[in-house]
This record gives sequence, structure tokens and C-alpha cells, in this order.
Amino acid sequence: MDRNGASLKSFIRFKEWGIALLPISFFTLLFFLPVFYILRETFNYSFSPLREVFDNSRFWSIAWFTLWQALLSTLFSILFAFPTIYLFTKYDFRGNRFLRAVVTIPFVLPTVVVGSAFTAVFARFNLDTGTVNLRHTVWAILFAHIFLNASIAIRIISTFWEGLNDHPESQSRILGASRISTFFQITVPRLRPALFSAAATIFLFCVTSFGVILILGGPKNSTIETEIWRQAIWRGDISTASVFAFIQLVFVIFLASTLIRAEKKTSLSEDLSVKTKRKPRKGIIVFHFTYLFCLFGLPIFTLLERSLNPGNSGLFTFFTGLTKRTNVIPITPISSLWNSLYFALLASFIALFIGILTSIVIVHGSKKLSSFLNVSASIPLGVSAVTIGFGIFLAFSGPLANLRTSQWMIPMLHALLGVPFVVRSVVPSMRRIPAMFYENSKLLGVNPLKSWFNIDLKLSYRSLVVGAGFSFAISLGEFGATSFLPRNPDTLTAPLVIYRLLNTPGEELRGQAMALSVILAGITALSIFLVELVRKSD
Amino acid sequence: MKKYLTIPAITMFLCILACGNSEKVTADFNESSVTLITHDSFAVSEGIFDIFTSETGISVDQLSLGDTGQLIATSILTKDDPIGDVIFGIDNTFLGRALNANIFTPYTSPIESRIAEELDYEKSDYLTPIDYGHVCLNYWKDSFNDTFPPPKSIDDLLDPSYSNLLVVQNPETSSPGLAFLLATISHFGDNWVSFWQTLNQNGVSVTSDWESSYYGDFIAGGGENSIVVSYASSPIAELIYSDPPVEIPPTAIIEDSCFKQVEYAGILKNTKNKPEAEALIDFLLSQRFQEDIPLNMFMMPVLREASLPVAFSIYPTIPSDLNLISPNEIESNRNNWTEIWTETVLR
Repeated sequence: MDRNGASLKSFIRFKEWGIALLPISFFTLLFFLPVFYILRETFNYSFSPLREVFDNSRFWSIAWFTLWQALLSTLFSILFAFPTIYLFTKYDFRGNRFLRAVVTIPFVLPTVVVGSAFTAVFARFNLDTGTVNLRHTVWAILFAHIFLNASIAIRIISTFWEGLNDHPESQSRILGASRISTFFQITVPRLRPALFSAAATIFLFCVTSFGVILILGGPKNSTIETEIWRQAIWRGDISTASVFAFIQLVFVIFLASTLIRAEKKTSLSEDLSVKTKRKPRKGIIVFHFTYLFCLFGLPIFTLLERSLNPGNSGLFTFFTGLTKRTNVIPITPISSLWNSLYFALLASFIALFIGILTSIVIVHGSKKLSSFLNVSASIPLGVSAVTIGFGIFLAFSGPLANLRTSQWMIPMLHALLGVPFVVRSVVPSMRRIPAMFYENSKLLGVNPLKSWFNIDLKLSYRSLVVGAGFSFAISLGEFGATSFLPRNPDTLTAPLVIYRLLNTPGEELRGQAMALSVILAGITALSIFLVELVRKSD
Repeated sequence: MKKYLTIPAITMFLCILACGNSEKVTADFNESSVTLITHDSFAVSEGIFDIFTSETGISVDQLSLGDTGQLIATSILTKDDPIGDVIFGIDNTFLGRALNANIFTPYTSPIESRIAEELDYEKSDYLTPIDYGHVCLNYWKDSFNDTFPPPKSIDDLLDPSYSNLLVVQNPETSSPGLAFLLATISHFGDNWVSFWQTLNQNGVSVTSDWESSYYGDFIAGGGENSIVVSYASSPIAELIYSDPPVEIPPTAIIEDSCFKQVEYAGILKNTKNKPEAEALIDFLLSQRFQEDIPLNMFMMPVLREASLPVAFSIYPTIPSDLNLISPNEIESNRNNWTEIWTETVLR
């Protein structure tokens, strides 16, 4: 249960609550309280609304579709990520940090932009009419989900894999096993903690996928997430919407905790190693770059193309236009970018802080507290923006009422969505740190708390960096929850501005929306790249 | 060890301080202020509320969030403890829902008498009309010529020669989509379902949102459809934001397909700043503010004496009673109509 010996148990118990206090208050305030109020509003101490929804056959087809599209998206995202995971883990090559930065780009792109980029790609290859028609199909959804989520698998799994030593694999090869069977019988089982961790994150992300389902799935495909929104916003039926929200919650808690438990069960502490990586042959590099271009390149390329002005007023006028205020938006698009950067810095700082405390309790804490935090840290990702957005209005009354319109709400909510990334990438790495390290540190008279912080933070530093990068990116690109928060128009974020630019006709506005997306993507890539540089030099 | 607990403690303390501080600073100076809540499409010229502040001594705090649906749902959820005083952006398709929720306090601005009578808007003691616009079918002019003229009326769409040209939005997820459905219900009366059946047979594309249809399927965005559900002001926006600049808009509207949308403002019932809120409503109806509306929100001013910017001189004159359905009728039938539409077109 805990690795530091029974004698210290009670001491640690006490301290563990001290560490857990802040994460628990954070999740309670921003997640449990809002969700509780939404559910109370619905059921009003009766379960008849639930029965009504269950009796509706449409509900079952929506629930079933939500489940299988999320599971398939998760599976495909991880499968398609594997060649690249292998590349990053095994080879050292020029441009590898650049490539790591590039694969994170899809993550920040507002889904309205991703949706239209995919629609354009389908149209270019004639995949929207005729025999192969992807328009408004589940295939379009799956493609976009792979595009958006493969990077989660790439970053989480390759970072974990890099920390594994090669000994079991070498022994297996010496004993005569083929490379392929070594991979499936030795490596894959050792990667399981990271696989489950990545799967949990991607799954939650696909359950709450909104823009992709709405735009690429078209009007015929709905998931629980889009249905909650349709019921609450369009039909004004908050009651049915919250029944759906309740079902989504149960569903998400069940599946996420299964995956999270699997992550825990499969972790083993083992010797860490800093691997020596090979230099790849040219052919391998060409193969991987082509592969990544097919996976990520086309939609990004379409976006780049649209951000350039083909007219004779100059190729980059959409970019230069971003410094001027257009009538339809209260601030200049460039200042929305500053807002986004400011919120993203705050959000990733909060997410990192809460995420570290949470991870330490998850890894070292008592079983109950550990499981509780493990699940609570991840499920906010799988809960509808409508639930959290409206829940906040219901929950924050009286002395908390000022929080509803506080400028802190945006970074706090973004951090709520960033914490899962920190936790899901850090926990598998922390778990495998050999118990010996803590014991030695105890023998040297260091108190356990201090050794947790020292050992854990240093040895899972790489995963922390990955988690922080994702929280930063998720905040930069967040649209759904932000749109529910009442805020001063001066603090509009870049995704909100992009959305508004796309809501008025005119080539210029649309070009500017694309240019702003390109800059948003560029900033993410650049910041991930800088973080990679720091990571390398450490 | 203590070190590790002090950091969270300090952070928490700072958070609480910061949250407390973000409260309206102006309140400290005993100056009166009013909070205006709008949807995210609300835009005004810079400094316009400074004029109001210098005239009345009341400062304006602005809050914006999501779309009209989110705005109404939020106001209903926070009705006992509202986040602001005045709400702007409720249109006639959602007016009934907002009124039924009983979230407003009555106010009739003295300026309301100067609103253009021919506007033929829904009068209410609780809500004041601020601007209006139309959702209309738009077509791409270059797709049509003398031998293949553009449809002159919504009835022409029944003609098979206009098959596979139209793209509309789902009325259950899009505001212009809903407005166009209402236009067809008003225009065809009881036959509206058969109109949509025919459209469905002739091939009509449906998207979830306006952006996907205008920029995805409509020719303006590189698509193939030459008729789209958009706004009467869209050709004007095409003109203003064209790149390279053009002399005449590339699109035009089909007049009898239009549905009028009037946007209202109202004072929330539990406001603590009623007099200030009333002054703000009067300001929203003032000539200065009304003339600011068209180029910022691509809507038309309701005030009779407000003059239009040059670009808006081409805004079509649409009969005020065209495709009129009362907000009450919309409210009691909306969900039923959209369900029938879904059965007819999507399943």
C-alpha cells in the first residue's frame, strides 16, 4: 500500500491529507459542487426523469454511438501513433525536438477550424461525393479524432518508454526470440501503464468531443455531449439535459476508473535507464516524415494555405490585419492572443501545481484517497462543458457569487482540464521509481515528504514537462467551457475570436481567422519546442 | 516539511484575495454602475459607453457569453442572484422562453415611441427592441445567368431544375436554421412539411452550423452549393470584407424567404440598479448608439431617425409583415416543429 514502511504510516497519513487538501478543494469547488447542483436540480429527489429517458429508444442509440465512437477513436489514435512513438523512443535525429513540437499542434486548433480543414481535405480528394463519401460519417469523426488525439498517445507513451531500460528486451533477443515477438511479448506488457493512461485520457476527450461531432458528424450523428447541449440550449429542457449529464457522468466514471485501475495494476517499479539512442538510416527518417505528413500534414497544410491571401494586396495581409480592430469584434485579434497566452500560462501553472500534489497522493497515499483522487483528477475531462458551465452558475451563490464573473474562473477551469494531462502522464512514471530510492533516503534521515518531492519530481521531470505542455496547449485552444463563462469582452480568448471572425461573411474575416489559428498553432509548437530544449539541457 | 504546506496555504490565500478583488472596483467609489450581459456577437465602437458615462455618471460593466440560447439559459439559472442588470440579445425566436421564465422587471422606455412603426415588432412591457435583421436565402450570382435565372421565390425551389443547389442548417442546432424553418412554416402554412419533403427529394444539404454551410458547402467558401441560408446583411458583409475589394456583392437574397429577427434588451428582475438599468436601455435606443449598430453587428437600427451607413443603403426593403409568426406561437410549437422537420429531412 505505501512504500515507506509501516512504522511511518500514521505520520504519513496525516501529512498525506495535508497535501491532498488543496487538490481536493480544487476539484470540489470547480467540479463536484457544480455537478452536484446540476443533478439536484434535475432529480429533485425523484428518479422519474431518468426513467423517461431510458424508455426512449433514441437515447440508447445515442449512448451506444457515444461509446463505440470513443472506444474506436481511442484505439485508432494509439495504433496510428505507434510508428511515431517508436521513432521518438529509439532514434536520435536532427529535428526530433521540432517534430515533437509539431505533433502537438492539432491539439490547440479550435475544432471549428479543424472541422472546416477536414471538410476541405475531403473535398480536395473527392471524398465527399460518389462511391467513397466521408461527408457526415463516423469515418470523418474518426479521422479527426485520430488527428487531434494521436499526439496524446505519442507524448505520453514515448516519454514513458524512453525511461524503460532495455535489459529484458536484450535478454529475449539473446535467447533467440524474434524482434516482433520480443516487442509483443516483452515491450508491450511493460508499456501497459502508459498505454492505459493514454487510453483513459483519449477516451475521456472523445466522449466530450463537441465541434468534431457537430461539424464533421453532421446533423444525423449525435453523442451524449451534443445531446446535452441541444437539450439545454436549444430546447431549453434543462431537466432532460441533466439526465443526460448524469448518465454521461456515470459512464465516464465507470470507464475511466477501469482504465485507471488497469494502469495501476500493471505498473511495476523498475530500474530506470537513460537509453542510448541510435542514429536512424535515411530511409527510416523519410518513411516517418511521410507517415507524419499523412497523419497531420494535410489539414494543417490546408489551414496554412487559407491563411495566405491569394489576391494582389499581399500574401500576408491576413496576418498584418490582425493588429487592427475589425468592427465585429471588440478587441484586436492580436490582443486576444495575449489574453490566451496569459490565461494559458496561469492555467498551466495551476494545473502543474495541483497535478503534482495530486500525483504524489495518488502514488504514495492510502488506497482510498489515492483511488479517489486518481479518478477525480481525470473525469472533468469527460464531463460536458454545459454541465460544468451551468453547474457553476447554480453552485456559486451567496459569498461565492462573485466567482462566477471573476477573471480567475477562466484559468481555473482551463487548469481543471489540464490537471488530467499532468496526472495521466506523471503517475505512470512516478509509480515505477524503485522503492529502494525512498528507503535509502529514509535511512539518510530525510523525511518521507521531502523525499517524495525530491525523488518524484526529479525522476518524473520529463513527464511533468509533457503534462505541462498539454495543459498549456489545452488552455490555448479551449472553447467550450470558456464560452459559458461571463467575461468582459476585453478578455476574449483567441479561440473565441476565431469563432466570431468565422461568423460573419467575407474573405478578409475568414482569412484572419485562419491566420490567427496559424499563429496559435505556431505559438504552441514554439513553446513545446522551448520546453524540449530545457528538458534536453537538464 | 512545513515549507511544503505553506506554499499551498499562501497560494490559497492569494487566490481568495484575488477572487475578492475582481469584484467591481467602481463600487468602492460610491459611483453608480450597471452591468450589461450580452451574447458573444455583441460588438460596439470603442468608447461608446464612455459617452453614456459622461452623460449620466453611470459606468457600464460589460459581460459577454456564448450565444442567445446560452444567454437565456444562464439568466434563468441565475434568476435569484443575477450576474448583471441588463441583458441584451434575446431575439423573437426565443422571446417566449425568456418571458415565460419570468426573469424580467417591466420597463417601457420613453424613446420606444420613436421606434419605426412599420417594424411591426412584438410589444412587451418587459422587453425593448434594440435592433433587427433578417435571415434569408442567399445565392451566388455567378452561378446563374439569363438561361438559368436565380430562383425568384422560395416556391421556385420546388422546381427540380434547382435540385442539389441548396444548403441549410439544422434548426435544432443553429439560429439561422431555425429562422428559415419558421419562414417556410409561415409561407407554406399547413403544406410546409410537403415543401421539405420535396426539397429532400430534390437534394438539400444540411449542416449543423452556419459556418459549415456558408464556408463549407456554399460557393463563397469553395463549396458547390449556390444557395444558402444566411442573413439579409450577408451581401453587405461580403462587400465590406471582400479581399480583393469588389464594387458589387457577389451574392444576393431571395426576398420572400426572409424571416425577421428582432433583438431585445430587458432589465433583470432582481437587479439592484434599476434606475441605472433604465438609463442604459434608453441609451441603447439613443440615436448615437443606434447608428453604431449596423457596421458592428450587421443588424439594422430600430430607431426611426437613425441614419444608415452608406454600405447599408443596399439593405433590402422587406415587407414588415412577411413570414410573421408571433413569439408565443413559436414558443409553444418550436420543439414540435423541429421534431417534425428532423423526421422529414434527417431520418
